[in-house]
Amino acid sequence: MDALWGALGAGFASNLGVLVLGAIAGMIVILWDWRVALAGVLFLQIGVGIVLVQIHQVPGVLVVGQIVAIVLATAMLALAATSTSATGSLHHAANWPLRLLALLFIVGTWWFIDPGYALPLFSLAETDLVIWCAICGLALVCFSGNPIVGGVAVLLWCTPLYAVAAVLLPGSGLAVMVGIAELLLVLACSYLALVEPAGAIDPAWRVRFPLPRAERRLAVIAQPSPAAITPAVSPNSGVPAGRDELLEKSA
Amino acid sequence: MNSATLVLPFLPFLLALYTSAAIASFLLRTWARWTALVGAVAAGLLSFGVWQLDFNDPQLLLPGGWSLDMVAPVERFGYTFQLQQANMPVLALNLLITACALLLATRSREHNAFPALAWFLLAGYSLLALTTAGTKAPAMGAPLVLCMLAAIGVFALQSDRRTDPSGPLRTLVPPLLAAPLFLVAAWYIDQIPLNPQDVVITQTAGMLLGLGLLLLLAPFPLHSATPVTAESAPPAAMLLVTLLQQLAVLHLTAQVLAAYPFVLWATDWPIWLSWLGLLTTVWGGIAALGALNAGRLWGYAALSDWGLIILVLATPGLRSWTLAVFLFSLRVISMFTAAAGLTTLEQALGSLDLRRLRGVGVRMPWNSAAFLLGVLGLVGFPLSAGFAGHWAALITLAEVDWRLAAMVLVASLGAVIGIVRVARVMFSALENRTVPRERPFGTALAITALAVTIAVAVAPQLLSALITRALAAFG
Repeated sequence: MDALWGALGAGFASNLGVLVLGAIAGMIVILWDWRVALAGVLFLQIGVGIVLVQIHQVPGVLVVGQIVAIVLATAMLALAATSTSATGSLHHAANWPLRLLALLFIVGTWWFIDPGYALPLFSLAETDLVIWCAICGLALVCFSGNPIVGGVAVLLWCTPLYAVAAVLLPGSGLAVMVGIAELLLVLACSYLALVEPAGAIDPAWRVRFPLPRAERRLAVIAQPSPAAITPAVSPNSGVPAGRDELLEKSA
Repeated sequence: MNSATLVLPFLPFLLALYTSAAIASFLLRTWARWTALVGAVAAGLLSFGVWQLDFNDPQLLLPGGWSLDMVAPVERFGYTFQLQQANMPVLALNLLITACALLLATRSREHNAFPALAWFLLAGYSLLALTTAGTKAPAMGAPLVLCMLAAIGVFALQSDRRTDPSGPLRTLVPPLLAAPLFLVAAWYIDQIPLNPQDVVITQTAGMLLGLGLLLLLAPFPLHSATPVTAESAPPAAMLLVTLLQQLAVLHLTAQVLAAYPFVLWATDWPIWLSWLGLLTTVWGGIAALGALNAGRLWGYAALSDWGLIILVLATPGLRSWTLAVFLFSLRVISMFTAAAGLTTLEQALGSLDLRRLRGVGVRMPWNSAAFLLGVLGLVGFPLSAGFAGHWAALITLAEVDWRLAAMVLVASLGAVIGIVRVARVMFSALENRTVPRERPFGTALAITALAVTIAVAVAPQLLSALITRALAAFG
């Protein structure tokens, strides 16, 4: 077991390994595909766990427990994603160049400000990695209100949470609590994905300024009807009425 | 063995009660209304019993010579749980809020699993309040527990409804953001005794804790879960999840500020929070002006009220737990009154959109009045339950800076205009003739809620005994 951790640790706990893990976190945001995201977050958390064992001597059994939790969590999200037909809100997240630009802006700002802050007991590279994971998680939440994406964001955000609990507060049982919390949070996200209506509300319809009138509010489109597909123009908003359905059909 | 000497600890008994109530409610979910009603009575009685507990004589005699030791500590997983004078008011309030939510759930025909979820949530929040010691300070792990409870709350808020899930999803964000800050702060706090002269350690710990508390309090711009959820979730679930979570956060804030006072003096936490509290209350008031859904209007009014509580807690020179607890008590009453009206209206109309509410006041006057008076109470309108608290807060705020008080007043005015707009729609000519008339139980519930609201509005001193005792947990 120790030999296995050592061999894997030599790979991940290097500059290149940390860079690869960071790149995976970034790719999750840029590619915006739930399959890639789930595989990526699984790989990322396993990699971070191995780094913790290699550098901080976190007990291997604790990391194995965390890996089991993350496998279960990603399996739950994958099952929810394959079981639901409501993927409308999954695609409301701008396009990949915009997401790439957003990440580049964050990286540029980070480099420019250069806070030079390292978490206690962590190296600067490790700190950058876990903070980067957290930023990517936040970016996912900011770009989309989709529960599957939300679940991936939770898992990304839990990466620093787990690292901090395992390294800074050993023996407190908080690392185990992080795993349990992760499972519950992902369970909630999976549930939300399953109950999401087929035609989720497009945020563009919900702009309500200046003082709105009751007619401007559109109901949730539960089932696309032939009338909804007609690209009529709403008298109040000036936005084509069946825009989402048209986009989905053309996709 | 002499059975007369057998003393049972209360907490395992309480947890067994919660668990069996949750399991029974789930198994009997076909009769969800009855399980909700029985649950409401049980939670209400338990709340009264806990509130009446005499800590000088904590043994409760049971039939058969047995007795319950109400304050016996219980240790599990390295943590100690104990009912103390300092956490008793929180436990009693948790029970009371759950009783109110279960009572409202008797009016609902959907989501049969709500009573079971309510008991689970109550068990979680009660355990959080009752945790008194651990390998690490319990407050440091509290955001993680709040994450778990927020995840369970999502099931209650969504209630199997096929509606936009973004509101319940957003409720997960604040505790999740706060959790790592508390964990890192715990490490720094452990270092303080080792380096008592190092001011940087204290400042860093204070900054992290302050930021963590700020995120948990979810002021503007982290507020969005409240109005969105108020629009999409059943009012009973919204009432339960929001109030339990906010009470837990207030209790945690009191614990942290008492144990680590450097959060106040070593950081700019009070200034950040007072500005964000002000923004929250102003935004709640302004946004209520344009709400097109009665649930969302309720959410914005509640947000405005929450902003005032944050402001009262944070503003230097104004900080007063007495006022904060008073405002929170009035908040519970106003939110319950509004939710009582909303639950019946939603059941009758199928939706709380303004279009559906046209003329509903003609057919359902008591529930419409309960909703309107409850929402008015949340913005401190005169002759409503919230007026006394808001007035006291405004007076105290004006003594610190009259401009802040003026801004709060303008925000409340905005909300009142929004409420008047909805009231005009509700009491206009009835268009939908299929709207049913109120049934006796719904009317009785609305009248009870109205009676409580009016009683507190007329005589707010009715709450003084409650607040004096509750201050043991906060002051």
